[in-house]
Amino acid sequence: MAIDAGTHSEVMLTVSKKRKPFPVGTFITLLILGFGAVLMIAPFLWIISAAFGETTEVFVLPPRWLPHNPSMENFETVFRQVPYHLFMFNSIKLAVIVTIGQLITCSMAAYAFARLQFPGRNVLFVILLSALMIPGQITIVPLFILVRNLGLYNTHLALILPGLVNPFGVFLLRQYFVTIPTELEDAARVDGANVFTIYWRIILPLAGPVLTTLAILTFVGMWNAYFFPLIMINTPELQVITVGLTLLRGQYGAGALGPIAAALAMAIVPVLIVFLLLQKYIIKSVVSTGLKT
Amino acid sequence: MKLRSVTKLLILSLCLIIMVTGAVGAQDAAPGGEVTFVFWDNTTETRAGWEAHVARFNEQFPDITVNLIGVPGGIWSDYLNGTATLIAGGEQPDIIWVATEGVRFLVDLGLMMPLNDLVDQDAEQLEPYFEDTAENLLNGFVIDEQLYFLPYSWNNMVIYYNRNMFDAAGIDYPSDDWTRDDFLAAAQAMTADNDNDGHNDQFGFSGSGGAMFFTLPWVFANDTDIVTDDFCAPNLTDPAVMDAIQFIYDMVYTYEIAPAPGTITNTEIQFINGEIAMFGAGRWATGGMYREGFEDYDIALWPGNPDNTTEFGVDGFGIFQSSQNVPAAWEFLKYMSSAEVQQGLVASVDSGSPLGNIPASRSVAEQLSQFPPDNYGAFYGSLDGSVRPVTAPPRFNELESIFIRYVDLVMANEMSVEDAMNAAQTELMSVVSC
Amino acid sequence: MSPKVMTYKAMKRREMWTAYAFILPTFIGFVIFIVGPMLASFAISLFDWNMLTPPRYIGLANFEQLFRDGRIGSVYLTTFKLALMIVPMNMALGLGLAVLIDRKMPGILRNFFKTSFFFPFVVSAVAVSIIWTFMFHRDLGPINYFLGLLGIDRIPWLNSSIYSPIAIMIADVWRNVGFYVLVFLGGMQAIPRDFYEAAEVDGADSWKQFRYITLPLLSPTVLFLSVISVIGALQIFEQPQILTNGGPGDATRTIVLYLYEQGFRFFDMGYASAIAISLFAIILILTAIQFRLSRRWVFY
Repeated sequence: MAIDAGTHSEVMLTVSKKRKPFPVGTFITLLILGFGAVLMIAPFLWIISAAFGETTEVFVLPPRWLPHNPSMENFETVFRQVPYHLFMFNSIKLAVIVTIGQLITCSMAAYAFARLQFPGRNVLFVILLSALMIPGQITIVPLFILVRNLGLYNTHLALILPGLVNPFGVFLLRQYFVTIPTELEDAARVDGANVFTIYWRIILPLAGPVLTTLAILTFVGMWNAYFFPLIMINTPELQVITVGLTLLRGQYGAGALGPIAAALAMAIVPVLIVFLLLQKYIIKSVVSTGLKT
Repeated sequence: MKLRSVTKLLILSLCLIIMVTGAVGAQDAAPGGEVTFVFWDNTTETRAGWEAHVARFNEQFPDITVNLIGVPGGIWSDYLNGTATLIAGGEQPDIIWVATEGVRFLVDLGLMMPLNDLVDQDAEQLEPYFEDTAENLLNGFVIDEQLYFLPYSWNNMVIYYNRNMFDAAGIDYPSDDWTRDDFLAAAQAMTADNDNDGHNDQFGFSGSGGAMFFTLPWVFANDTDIVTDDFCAPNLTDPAVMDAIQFIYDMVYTYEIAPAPGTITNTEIQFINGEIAMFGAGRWATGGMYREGFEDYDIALWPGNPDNTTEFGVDGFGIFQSSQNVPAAWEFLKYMSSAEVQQGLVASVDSGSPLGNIPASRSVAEQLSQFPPDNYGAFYGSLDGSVRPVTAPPRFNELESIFIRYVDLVMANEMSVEDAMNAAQTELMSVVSC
Repeated sequence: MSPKVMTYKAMKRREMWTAYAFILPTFIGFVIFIVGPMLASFAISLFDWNMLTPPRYIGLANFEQLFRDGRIGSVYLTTFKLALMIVPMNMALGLGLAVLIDRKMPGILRNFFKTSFFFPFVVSAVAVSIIWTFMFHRDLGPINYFLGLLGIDRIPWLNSSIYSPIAIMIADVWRNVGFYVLVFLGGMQAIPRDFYEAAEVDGADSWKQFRYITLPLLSPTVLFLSVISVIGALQIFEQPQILTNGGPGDATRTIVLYLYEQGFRFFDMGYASAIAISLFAIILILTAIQFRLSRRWVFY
């Protein structure tokens, strides 16, 4: 890599004033990246094509990138076995609610830790961060007992309320908030703005990228949640996609794979659409957050 | 502080509700009140099916409210741990659906109520049920002469074979008294490397990794078991057990008649496509083939070596020792075990396709004749021959986990059968003991 | 009373109460849903409890069992091995790809690459693991099929102690590397361009620029990513559970998978809690070490 990188800069230095020939370094770069991109995308194409084939033609070798006999059979099987549309609705609903809620709770706490003076600030911050190191699987039984005693068992609140606490989110936002220059705040303070106004009117609008980043991470996390819904929810009408996927694997995992491919495709495609629509914004946010520490 | 008092209040009110409902249940002559029923919410029997049963039960017993708690889970142990979490969290179910795998675990902990007295009370009413239910199914639920569960449905491991592939290879269809050598010869004749890449792509057989239920038939065919018959010690160093494991290994590596085991497989579809000639499964496999409209198959009992012993697992309903409303729970239990309810196992109400399990009642099981396979008699009929329930001592989950871990090492070609079974035997000493 | 006429002390007091109000929602949830259950699991670790019958107090016996357990050593070893494969791979590949994407190219291509590398990250780990289970199958999976076309003999990805950790690493890197790419790109964009211009004037080639400008100035990003990815890698669960179920043997059994098995399969909640506490302690120590060492190489 060092060699073609060298070629590249040489080209830049000497030829940049003249008409540029297509640089070898760039070509190799594109080749590597293109190959990588194919590796990232191929499994999805394969699954989606399997989903739209007949149950008997999926997972044949050589792999088919387009089904020979397009059919909706696999999707019909999925919906006959489980209320998958409800799973999808629930997953989306929970992810949206928790994301919005977390943006509020985390940004408030992060603002306090970044900008306000109060006794115990550092100690509380460290205590909060240490929660990142607790494996979630182990607190599930105490949590379950708690959820039942609060009367939340088998409700979506059992998933939403614990989801509103995210020490990592507080950490992420705080690190960003401290980099925002204080001049604007000082000016507002002189004008008599109170702390909440400063937080709401000045800090939040300036924190768009990092809030988007946290939103993506939270949404993805909630969309992925598997263990928690498995334990906390027992009516199919309230269940989420991830649990639905494992239900389709069947009793001994020996059933047909076509319906699983269809279910996977349905889990992937909505995210894909949202992602493609917002990708410019999403990517810019994660990039411009830069996650400074 | 505040939270604690809220919790206390909640618990107190919960206790009150339980006491009130319990008292009401005890006073009434005709059973009433609430009972909670826990079942495995996997896809073989839909929740809608259970709800329909409850609705019909309520026509007879309008005063009993049945709360259904479906515990999801891909495998049996997911269901058991979900149920345990419920109970740990303070839920007090009255009735549980349970399979052989969990029977001794629950009974050993003293959680289940012996049903003998209740059965005696209603002996006359239950006579047809016991007449119609094979002795072998009931035996699995009897521990120390006490009956703990009423059988509902069950499965046995049989060989599914693709008739087209047997015809193409010019081999006779298996008989119900065939041997492992017959099986091997047939499997070898139907294994092929169609694209000539040096690796077989058409297989005589496909095993399934991950669950003990798929490994044990080979052990049982050798007329032995992986623990001693009194469940007091592991039995993995028995040469007959090692021979069975060796055969499973040889199928993949020596004879190359079976693909490598995988946790998620497409076996049924490959079978329909003619890429796999035989596989082992219970009745649950008929549903997928029915939906694909594939009928060119049949089933045979497991090949003997030389012992044609069939492995089976049975499930049923039992009452928790802690139940506050035994009369209502018992009525529900009797109803759920009735032939009327088992009727629902023959075919799914909404799609008409056969459902997963075999009904526990012989007369209901006769109706399987309306679906393929032709040799449907190998399902219920196997109970009249030599059968063995899936090996399930109280600590079944640990037994399965340890056993499968070592079988996996053998199947990964990383440990000899002898070393693996010796190591498993040592590790199991503290798990399987009296 | 307007803030302008408040005394400094009153203002400070007011700020303090506002701050407490701001952190209150997080802390109420934190205490109820994280600290409470955590303390409860400390308590459970002192009991012999199968969830179904009343717990029995046994003191520190569960922690003594940690030292007698013949498997836990190798399970921890597997966990560290996987973390040592996954974290550097994600970091190196993420950084490498970020450097490549940051080079001169048409904007539309740049966006295409960013999008396609990041997309697997938004798909659920369960879904990703199921897809990879199909892909890795020795006889039926497309990976071995394509390797076969290249003349490489089929690899027992999921049925081998050597390959199954690699398979899990591939599945993990495939899903997560895009996140690393974007974060590194962010870090790189924060580096002032004049540094590079000055370096070019001095005749530094791309490698030197990378080595002496990009890398040092990225070090805070590297630290941040390494801390969160080590914590994440030590708690990896879904991928091994679905792909290999920890096998063959204990080759891919991570510590969280092991404690899950002890607690929810074998119903030994006390011992599972003791294992969780040991993991908590180890992560705490590792994180402290990372921060301590970082003083030597992180450039603020």
